[in-house]
Amino acid sequence: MPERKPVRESGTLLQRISRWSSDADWSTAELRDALRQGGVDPDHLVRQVMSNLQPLLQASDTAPETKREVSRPLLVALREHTQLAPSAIAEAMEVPVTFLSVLSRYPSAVPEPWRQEVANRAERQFNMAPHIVLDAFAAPLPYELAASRDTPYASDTVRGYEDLLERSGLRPEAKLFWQALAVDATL
Amino acid sequence: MSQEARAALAQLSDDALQTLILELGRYALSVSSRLYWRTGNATDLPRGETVDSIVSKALTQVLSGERRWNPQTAPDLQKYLMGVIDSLLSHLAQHKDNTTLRAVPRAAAHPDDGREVVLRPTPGATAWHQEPQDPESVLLQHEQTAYEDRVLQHLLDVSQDDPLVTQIIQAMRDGHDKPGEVATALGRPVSDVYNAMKRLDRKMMRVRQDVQEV
Repeated sequence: MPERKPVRESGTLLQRISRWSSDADWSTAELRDALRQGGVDPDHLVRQVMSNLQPLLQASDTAPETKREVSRPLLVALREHTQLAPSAIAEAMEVPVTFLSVLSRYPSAVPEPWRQEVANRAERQFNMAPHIVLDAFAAPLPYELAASRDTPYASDTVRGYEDLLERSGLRPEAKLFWQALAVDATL
Repeated sequence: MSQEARAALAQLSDDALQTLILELGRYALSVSSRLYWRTGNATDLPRGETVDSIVSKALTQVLSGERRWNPQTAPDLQKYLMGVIDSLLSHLAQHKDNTTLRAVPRAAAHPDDGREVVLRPTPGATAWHQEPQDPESVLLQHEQTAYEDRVLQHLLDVSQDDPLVTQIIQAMRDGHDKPGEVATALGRPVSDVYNAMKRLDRKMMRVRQDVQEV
């Protein structure tokens, strides 16, 4: 029998109460009572949510498939979502702008753990859906224009994440962090 | 627009859709009740959000494709929407607008000042949490942890007349991490555990107001 690990954090227990109670079978009357008890008017909730949903639900079945959001380079996607300058974005994500630029420029060379880490940071800092960031790394290459330039980059190549680190502008200790992420993924 | 999500919702009857909204509302309220809010209120949240607006946002983000639901990897749309609600509320709770105190920057004078600087990711942990945190984030985290401790203690206090609930919490503390396991450990049908969870969840909503006023 596997050894059980005692749970000491109150937050973990409360989270499980929320999750397990959501798996329980609630009647409509119980749901309404629970909402009222918590200070939420169930009728108002339903009305408000339905009024927000109707326009999206009533879209015609014959309407053409809405085109999937076109993947954009990472920095462009971040700027569009946040409406912030690259320097502000970089500061919030605790990396240099240069690092974001090289990730934007060489998406196919970015290791998967880095993609996830950048997506996690963007979600945490900007409430940005992770798929937007992950799509940026899947965007087709080569881009004709860099993320924040008006002129094309000169063509060059990178061999792997080591080259990205070399050009990243990261402090030595931060380089170790990103390097460890990439290395651990290969173990 | 997510055609998969739209198709899944469009096939629901009006009653079923309303029930889904009520389920999501109750879930959002439950999650909100265990989070610390500067507003002191689990329904009127920072940045003008409410339980209603959080449920609306979760559904519209999934319908619009901003949050992409993949039925192959997450077949249960309701569970997926609950995950979106978790994410929205968690982000809101960690937002600077939710802090009651302002941190005064100072040099770290003590190794136990709440900061962690670890450069190598630990297997199984999210690397993001290992980065140095700014003082306001540390404050928020401390406020949240202290609040959770008070809520749990208060839950135990008001559940003294409900021995099953007390036993279930103890079993959870002992590491039983599934309702079925708890039921087996206590020798009770799992339906008893789920019913107790419903009672606990409603108690949590009741006690949160008292606790945050302490």
